[in-house]
Amino acid sequence: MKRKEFLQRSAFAAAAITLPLLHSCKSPVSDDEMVDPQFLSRLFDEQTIRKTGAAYLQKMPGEKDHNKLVGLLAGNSSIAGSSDENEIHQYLEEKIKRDFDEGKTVMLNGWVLSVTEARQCALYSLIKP
Amino acid sequence: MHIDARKLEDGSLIEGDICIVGAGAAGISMALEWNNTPHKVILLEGGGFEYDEQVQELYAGKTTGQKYFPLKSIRLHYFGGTTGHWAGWCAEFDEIDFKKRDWIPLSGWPITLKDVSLFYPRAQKYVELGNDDYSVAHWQQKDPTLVPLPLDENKVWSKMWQFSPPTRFGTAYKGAIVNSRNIQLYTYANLVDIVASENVSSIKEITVRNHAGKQHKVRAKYFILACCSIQNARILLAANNQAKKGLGNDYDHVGRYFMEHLEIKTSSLWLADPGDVRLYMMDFGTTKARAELAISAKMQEDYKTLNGTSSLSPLELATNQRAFIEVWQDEKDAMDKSLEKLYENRKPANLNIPKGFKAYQLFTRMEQAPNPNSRVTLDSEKDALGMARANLHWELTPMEKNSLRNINTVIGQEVGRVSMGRVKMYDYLQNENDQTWPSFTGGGWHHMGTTRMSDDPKLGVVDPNCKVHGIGNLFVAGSSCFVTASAVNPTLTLIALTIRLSDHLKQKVSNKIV
Repeated sequence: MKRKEFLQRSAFAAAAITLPLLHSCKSPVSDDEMVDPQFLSRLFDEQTIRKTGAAYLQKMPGEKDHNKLVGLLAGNSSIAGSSDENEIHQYLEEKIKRDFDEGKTVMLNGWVLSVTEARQCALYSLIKP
Repeated sequence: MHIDARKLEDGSLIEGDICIVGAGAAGISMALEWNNTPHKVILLEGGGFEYDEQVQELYAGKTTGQKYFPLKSIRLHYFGGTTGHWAGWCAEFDEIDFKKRDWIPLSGWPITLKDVSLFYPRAQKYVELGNDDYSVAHWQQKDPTLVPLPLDENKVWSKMWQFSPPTRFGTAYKGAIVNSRNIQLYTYANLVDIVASENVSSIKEITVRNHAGKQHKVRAKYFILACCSIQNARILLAANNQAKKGLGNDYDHVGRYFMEHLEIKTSSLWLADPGDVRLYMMDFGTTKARAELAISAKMQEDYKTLNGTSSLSPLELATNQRAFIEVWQDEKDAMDKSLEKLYENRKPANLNIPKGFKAYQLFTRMEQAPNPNSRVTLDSEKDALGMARANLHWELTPMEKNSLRNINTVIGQEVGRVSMGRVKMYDYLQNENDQTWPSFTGGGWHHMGTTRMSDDPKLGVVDPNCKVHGIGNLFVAGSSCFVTASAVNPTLTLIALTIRLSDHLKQKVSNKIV
């Protein structure tokens, strides 16, 4: 599945969603940018991303919340205030690499994935069940 | 010189300086180390120069526990031994293999890698490998297109194997042995009994027998058992006329700690735009060397894993490949370990591999933890020469399964870190609470550990010089002395250890510094 197609398929409303963690945000982060696991979207089709996300939420039921997941993905970084798609993707890609480097991985349906990309899949599965 | 023991007068007495029992990789290497010396070497081989069904039948036995191959077909009972069907894979042990690892009970050799690696260059010659070393840099110098994956070597590194032609010792060294002035090879001379001194502190003589009904005695200053792990243990256990539990077995270690290499498919590796991965590929019969993905000592410690490496095979071909344990279950397969048989009826799988990706199966070879319950014992049934048959109970523990999972997780983390790929674990490794093994679980026909080495006689069978504890002139050569199994095929290291033993014996016999 192509990346563009993936973004187009996300079920966000056209308006930006204000996130509870982004107290001082000027322009909220779009969930479109958050849900796109760049590497995985080259490897997985839409159904696999959804299934992977569902598997993650089964393991981590406490994260089964749209806002919570976006907050976990954004973290305490300044990215929370960004509306720059490239900047967000770069941030998340770096976060994914750090996850792998630090052993912050999870096995979902056999796949050894970064927690960040697992959360991206989880977010997608909530947005597009 | 060669003598067929079937043609000797019954009850003959054979005498020499050293007596080597078994003419496989260890026995022939040791004998040749003594070639052209002033010492008379007796080399005993239970079979002849060709495969003989009647002799091979002596190796039949039973297996229990984890499903294994038939004992009759996993070793060869003729001159040259199991090199008659080995695949020629050679690699060196790692430093960590010799260390005491606190997460692996019973690990830790009383010698170091350095004690063995001194002998690797000489061992290489016996398997016709020349002076090439085992570093990636060396092979890249020969062929700059051999490029390792860009992984952090402090986590995942590329470990090299070299491929012997493979050397069939029975063919390659028959001339040298038969034409030697000081080596006397006796074929059809199966060891059936050992007679020790009254206090069982030395060996006086051994008895050999054959299907022609002839029985002879062999006397020597030193005796070396070089018959493979299962047979070495069987011989010592069966020598129980004077030592009730068998020779060298006062503390019940003979036969225990039987170790195989788990060789099993573990995961698929999906690489994005990987470029040339030829360093990791092999074309059997053509490829001189190739790499497998190895886990660093630090990662092994952090993840509390056993030592193992994973090889890459194109997933389309590997998907429908039958496992060794499924292919070779016929006792008649002793001489047929061919690729033709392995690849029989294999059809490429039709996989939906995304554009820009290449997919590989990760096939992991891994040591098993020393386990006293994984063992060779004597069966109640006797073979045609009156010796109790071997019974192998192969047993695995949860550590093996957890280690397979952890090794593949570390590989997955590292390819993920460099944004190069992802790993998908096979079903049987996905549930951490599931300790069952799938039907395709098998080994590599690598038998190790049944006369393990130790400083303390209470903890092993042989001392650091491979001498049986408590018996002054009885030694064991080969992989039965291994304390742990490493991730690599044992042949190169068992030959190196044998050459080390040989040098030690020369020092004893000659009283000179080697």
